[in-house]
Amino acid sequence: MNRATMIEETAARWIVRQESGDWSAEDDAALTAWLDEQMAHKAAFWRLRHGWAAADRVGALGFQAATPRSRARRGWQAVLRARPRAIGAIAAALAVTVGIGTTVLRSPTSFGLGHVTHDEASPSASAPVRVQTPVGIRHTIALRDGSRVELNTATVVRTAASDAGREVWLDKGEAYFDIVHRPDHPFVVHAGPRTVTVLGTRFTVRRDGDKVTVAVLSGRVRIEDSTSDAGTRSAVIGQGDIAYAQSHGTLVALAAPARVEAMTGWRDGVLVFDNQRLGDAVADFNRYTNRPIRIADPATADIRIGGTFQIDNSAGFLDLLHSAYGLKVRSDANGVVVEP
Amino acid sequence: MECLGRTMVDDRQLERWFCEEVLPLEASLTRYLRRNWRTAEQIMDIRQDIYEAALTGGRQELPSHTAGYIFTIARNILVNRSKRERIVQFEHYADMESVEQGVDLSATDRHLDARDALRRAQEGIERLPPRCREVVRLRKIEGLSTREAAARMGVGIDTIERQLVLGIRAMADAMLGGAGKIRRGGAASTGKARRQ
Repeated sequence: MNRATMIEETAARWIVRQESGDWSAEDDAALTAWLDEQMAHKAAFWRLRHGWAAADRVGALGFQAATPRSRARRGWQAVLRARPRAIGAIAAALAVTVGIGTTVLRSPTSFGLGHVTHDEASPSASAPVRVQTPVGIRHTIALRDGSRVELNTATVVRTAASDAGREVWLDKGEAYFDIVHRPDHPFVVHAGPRTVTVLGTRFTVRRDGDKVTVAVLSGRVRIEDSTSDAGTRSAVIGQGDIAYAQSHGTLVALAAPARVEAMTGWRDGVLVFDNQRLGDAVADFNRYTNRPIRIADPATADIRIGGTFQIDNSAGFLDLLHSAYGLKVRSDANGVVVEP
Repeated sequence: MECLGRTMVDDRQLERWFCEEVLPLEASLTRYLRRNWRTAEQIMDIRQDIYEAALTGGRQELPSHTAGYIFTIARNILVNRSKRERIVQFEHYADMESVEQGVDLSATDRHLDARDALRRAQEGIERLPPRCREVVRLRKIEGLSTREAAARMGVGIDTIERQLVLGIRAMADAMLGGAGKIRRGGAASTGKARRQ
């Protein structure tokens, strides 16, 4: 256990004792002595006491012991249902957050960064919704059942709008899913040749044409080949696992939590590389920009690099290629070229 | 030390400043650390170091610009750590210039409205493990004491206290804009292998 965790646990035990009812003058003196030992003790104790007091707000939620989750969700759905009918079709399916803050969708035109259209030719029956992110933009949509889908750069998804519609089509790009658990009703993600079936979990799906990568942060998902008979080609993966599916089969990397974490770095606005080929790293950067970086020769593309980079700071990345590896970086009409 | 003409900041003032000015920055500070430090397991330790340094400095005199003060400390601690551990990682050079950006972000975090706080409370409590959630509920909503909660749930006082320790840590984290997930001490911390 690291030092901060140890101090935090001790601080939390002090708060528990203090709240327990039989708190004596000696206890108080002992606490003061502990706090005076180190500034770190005060930092941890004050932080927890403040945060724990702020958590009094749970009293305002008034949820029931038996079904805290469903009660809270129902309240939220009721709000959506109460919206005017004119925007009902979209509001019923989505509440939308833009950028870092949260905005509830008012009308289709106020959508800002993401782009929503009705799509008559969608596989789903009633009023499906299509959401698209441009290059370099991330965007979160909230589904009616309380699940959240976070779209990465250059991504297209469609959702079913029906009450039972726990289905999403990932047409292009990458998305992170935070799915509300409903045992009676699995959540399904269609990613081209693969179908991902979920029972309440958090995971990402990335699609590059027929290549589908699924990384699971918690829970379990089943990945099936939608082009073959049901059940014949499926893989079940759990927390920390990654499945790479291509036309010829599915490769599963078990227990790779560090890699899963790296794969979801885009949600924090970073790209994480660990001993990866420069060529692959550049390809990853290029997903976020319209001015792609090209590497002049194969030997350079094979250089191994590691590190964490801000997605929107490819200039910093290029500077480092120059200063750390002595590579030349120049701009031309089509983008940026990296040469030895 | 009043004779020196500069009185030390007392604990009450210091705590108030820490809770009202520093802790609201926690979410953006954590984001900043995540962006600039590669080993996720060390973030909490680093944050704790930053708070410790901030309080130690603040006791002499409270800074007029808290956000700038905190992010400067953060930057210095990251630089010192990377020197000490002799790991030269790209990000330390690539991202250090974006300290200003982190400060800008923090401005929005400070104006957390009641609805956001409620959302944090709700998400925090939903993420608790079931038994821990029940204990937090009994304490925060029904106002039961540890003993009463133990009787209600038919478990020992020790169990309630253990769950409360987890609940306090997780809920405090959630209310300060974190994921509300805390690492349990002991066994759980060995589950994740060190990457470096």
